Amino acid sequence: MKNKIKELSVPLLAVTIALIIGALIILYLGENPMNAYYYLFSGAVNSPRAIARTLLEATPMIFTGLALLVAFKARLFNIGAQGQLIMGGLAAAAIGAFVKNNLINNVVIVLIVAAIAGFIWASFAGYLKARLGVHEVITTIMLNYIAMSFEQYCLNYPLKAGGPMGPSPQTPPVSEMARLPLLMPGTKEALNIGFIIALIAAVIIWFLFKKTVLGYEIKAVGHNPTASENAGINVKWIVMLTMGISGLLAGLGGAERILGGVTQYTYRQGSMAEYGFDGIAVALLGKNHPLGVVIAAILFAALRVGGRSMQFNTNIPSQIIIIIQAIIILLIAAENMFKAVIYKKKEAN
Amino acid sequence: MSIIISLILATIRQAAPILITAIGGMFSEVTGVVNIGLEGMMLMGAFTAAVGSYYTGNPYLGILSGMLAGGLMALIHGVLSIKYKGDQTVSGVAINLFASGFTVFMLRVLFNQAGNTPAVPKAPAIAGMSVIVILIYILAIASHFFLYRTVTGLRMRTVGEHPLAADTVGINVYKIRYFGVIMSGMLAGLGGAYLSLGALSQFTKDMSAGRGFIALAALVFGKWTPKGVIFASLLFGFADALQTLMQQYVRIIPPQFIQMFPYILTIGALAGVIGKAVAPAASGKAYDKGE
Repeated sequence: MKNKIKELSVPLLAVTIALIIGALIILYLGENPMNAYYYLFSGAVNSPRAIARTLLEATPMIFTGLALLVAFKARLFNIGAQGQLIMGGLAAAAIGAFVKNNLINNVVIVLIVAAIAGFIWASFAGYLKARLGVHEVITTIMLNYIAMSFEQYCLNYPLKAGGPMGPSPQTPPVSEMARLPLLMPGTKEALNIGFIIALIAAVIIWFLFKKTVLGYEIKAVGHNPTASENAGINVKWIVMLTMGISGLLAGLGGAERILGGVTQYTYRQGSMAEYGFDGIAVALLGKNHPLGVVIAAILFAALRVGGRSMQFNTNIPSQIIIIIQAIIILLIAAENMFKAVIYKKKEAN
Repeated sequence: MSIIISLILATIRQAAPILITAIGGMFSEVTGVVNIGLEGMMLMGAFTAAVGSYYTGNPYLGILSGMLAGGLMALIHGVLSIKYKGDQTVSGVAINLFASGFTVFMLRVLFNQAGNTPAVPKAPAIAGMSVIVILIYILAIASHFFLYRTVTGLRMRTVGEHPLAADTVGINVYKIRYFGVIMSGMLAGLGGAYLSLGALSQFTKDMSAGRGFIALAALVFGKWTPKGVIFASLLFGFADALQTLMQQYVRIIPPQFIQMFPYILTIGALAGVIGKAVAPAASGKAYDKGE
């Protein structure tokens, strides 16, 4: 229990300090921080609609946060969640909007195909790492840029609504059968079953690392690849598989954006925002624990949704939220700084 | 013929920001500190250079402020990774995130704009080449002599390969590492300054566009040596220049596929060469000198 409190203290301190620094910036800009933060928080939670909006925004971040978590367990840094998200989303849109056969074009199959697309895109980086020793940070970043170009290609040519001469770079809406049912239709927000699937995914990932051999092997490879190899674990296979699972989760996140209805069931410019990169911050803030990831994703989503209301009601640009997020990650990277401070205090006592 | 000459000139220009950022990354990694934050340092450099040039009316002061901003970001990275032994990759990611948020935030605060600064005084050009490009190539060549012909260069390499040994012979490991990291930020800032004051005469949102990461790849591809980095950067510059040229002349391939070319080349280059590339032994590991 004491350890759990200690585990929690760093993220809590990081969030608190980052908010204080944010308040100082707001003050410097001549606004009242209490006032700005009032809009920030009330904008995120003060009505069922606001809550639906926050949870809707959190959904893809839970998926990508879990994606990063899985990779981190094997000491792999999957910066490519954005690309995997795009690939998952494109796969979902390609089938959901274009396949006429409902045996294939239904929400279950479409989700599976999107997951596979994410899996393949990520395990390619895993393959390069395992077989050729190419650092996954660089390959996943490069694969992100390739995926972004591919996204533009798809939206402008093969998947474009109305063909290549169509009016705007977006796909047609996916068919009714491929859509994820809404959770709170009364709020007019597209919060959908995808949020529940994200929570289930978090439980499965928790189970994976708590109870299964595969989870154990992934962690073992993360701790010490050489010892794992000697213990008979196929390290190269685990590296590829871990990246694949990571990409699978990101791919599901991409599918949720399309099938969940947040952009009227079409894939358009900016549909995937930066959720893949948000996953990094979410996993770090969540201390790489599935429950932590869920909480962190909801917190970041609340900041973002509230940030828009703050920008609307005050002179503070919503980008201050990105600055606050960056400071949170910086502080978490500097974990030892807190430990040093806490340690010294204890000594003084 | 004129196409070939313009391709060569474009290669030299496009390679410049990647080159100097990669040389910066080399100074950091050679002392043992991994710098994923180059992209963010470059972006901060581009933004601050434009702001400096805007307010002083002097592009040289702009370049200087860009380098200082990059250096300041690097100092934060240094304190986290050297003093507090934080995770260097995580810290670098935070720097990148901070830079992308901060620059747009400040665009709104200073200029009430979401996407770009107003036009600012640009660095002059000599014979069609921006002075920043010329400066970048001079610094890149000088870095070779600095790293292999000076005492500080030798010390930097020693600290990166075997910090304990360096410590034993009286080299201040922390000081050398701070020096390397701050230099990396200043050079990345210079690369950024080229983007806003050399290539354009304004800052635009996220204008570094992944060049900091390509610089990281060039660093690995160039095997952490100045000569190798110059070669690798020219290759990426060429891919970029070719890509731009092909978009003008080749209509059959969709432009989106041509845009992928530099990134595919990066992966291919790394996959092909990596077996022979060895990072500085202590790269990425914090050094604890004990008390």
